[in-house]
Amino acid sequence: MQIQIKTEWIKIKKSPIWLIFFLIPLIPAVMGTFNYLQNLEILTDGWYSLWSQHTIFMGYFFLPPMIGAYSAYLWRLEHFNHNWNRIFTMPQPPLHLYLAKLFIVSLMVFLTQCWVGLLFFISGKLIGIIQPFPAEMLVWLLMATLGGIVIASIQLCLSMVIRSFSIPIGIALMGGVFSLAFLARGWGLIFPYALLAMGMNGNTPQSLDYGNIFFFLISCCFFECISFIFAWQWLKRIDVQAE
Amino acid sequence: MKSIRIEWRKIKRKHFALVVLGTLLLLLFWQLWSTSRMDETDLIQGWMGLLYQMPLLNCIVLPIMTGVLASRISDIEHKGNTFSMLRLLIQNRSIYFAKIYLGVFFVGITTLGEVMMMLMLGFLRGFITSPPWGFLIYFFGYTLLVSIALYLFQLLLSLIFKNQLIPIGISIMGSFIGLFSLYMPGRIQEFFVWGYYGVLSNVRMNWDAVSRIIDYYWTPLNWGGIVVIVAFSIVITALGYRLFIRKEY
Repeated sequence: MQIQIKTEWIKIKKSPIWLIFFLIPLIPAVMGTFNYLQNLEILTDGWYSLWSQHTIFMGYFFLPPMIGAYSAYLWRLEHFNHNWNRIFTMPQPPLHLYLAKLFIVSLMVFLTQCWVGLLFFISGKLIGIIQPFPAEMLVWLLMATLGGIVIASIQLCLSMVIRSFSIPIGIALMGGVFSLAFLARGWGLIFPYALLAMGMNGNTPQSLDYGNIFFFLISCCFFECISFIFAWQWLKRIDVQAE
Repeated sequence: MKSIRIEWRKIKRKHFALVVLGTLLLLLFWQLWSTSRMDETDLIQGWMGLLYQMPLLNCIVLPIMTGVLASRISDIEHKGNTFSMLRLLIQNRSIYFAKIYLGVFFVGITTLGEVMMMLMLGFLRGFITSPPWGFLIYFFGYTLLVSIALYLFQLLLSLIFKNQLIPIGISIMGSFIGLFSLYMPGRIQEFFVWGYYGVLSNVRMNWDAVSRIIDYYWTPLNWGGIVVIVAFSIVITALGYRLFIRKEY
């Protein structure tokens, strides 16, 4: 398993994935801060107002496709040059491949949230917010990471089954857009793509509080298990004829 | 014509129609949801509301959709390493323009589908006024032009970079920039091609924070913006062609 994780890491180590990783969160940080400064008369809640501007669209429309891109990138090589045949002849269970990819994408999701948090902190300091930094935002970032890992596990399944690089990313966008409708109805916990935005707590119609955090975690575990079972069964049944 | 026929054969079982259908379904569900609770004032302003909301949604969805289309159309060649072989058989120009034709066709179908969907929604919800045909045609025209411009840009990237992560990443960024630019002052919006769905829209909104009433109003058609987007498309096509013929695959 360790070898597979190392291999997956090599794949992304010098890849353009880092370009996406660094640049995409920069856009809401710059534009959200600009928007915050433009509307200071309405946005009076310091860090919380700035957070709402930074995360206003991120959890619905942009982080799901971004995670979709991470996942699709890791499966892309397997879909090239009959590599599936090699995978099935290696002395390693194919499921390890899925788990190694899940580990790496989860790490990327975690790092993305750290970067989002860091940009938020820097923006707040640069524009001179004087209140102390609210520690609960660290919890929101952690919850968003868990929600993001759920999306990653589903996207990895999609990119494993669909050989196209871009189609699963389009599906991630659809999932993100639909999540808004689910959150508006208060059904965020039953839709996997809504968990990230819900965990982020940024301007969502259905927010995360200490009352529903338990159900949030249960929901994350449930969707993780479903994805795992799907990947396990699919990799068990699929044969080299799929090439 | 021959190259276009070849392109059609290549995508025969690639389910391209699903990309268009998925995009339209996404927009339809959103609009069905957002128009589900309309009072009489909303029904009077129904067409304006649709013509206001649709460009916003397009800013989110169409940059990524055009990115996916361009990536799929180019990735067929990257995956099979077929660019070098193709160049021996067909002229560079034919390959490049056949790929443009294909994308423009799907983008055109999507835009037409959007207009049909708006008409259907208008009749389904019982909008009180009759459809503003002229503005619907204008919407069709500018949405098509902006989508073609974005498709051309994405095609350029997808042809140049073998690694499709870069063009797709840029399409996600573009979508983000386009959406955020709509909340920026007018002159700033005009610098971002992804936000042109909003820049060219001829409906604006006044929102009264106290009474929470939305009032839409028409603005003059933005012909200057149309010229900008057409010029952008011409420049990108020329640049894309130049880079494509020089590229060693």
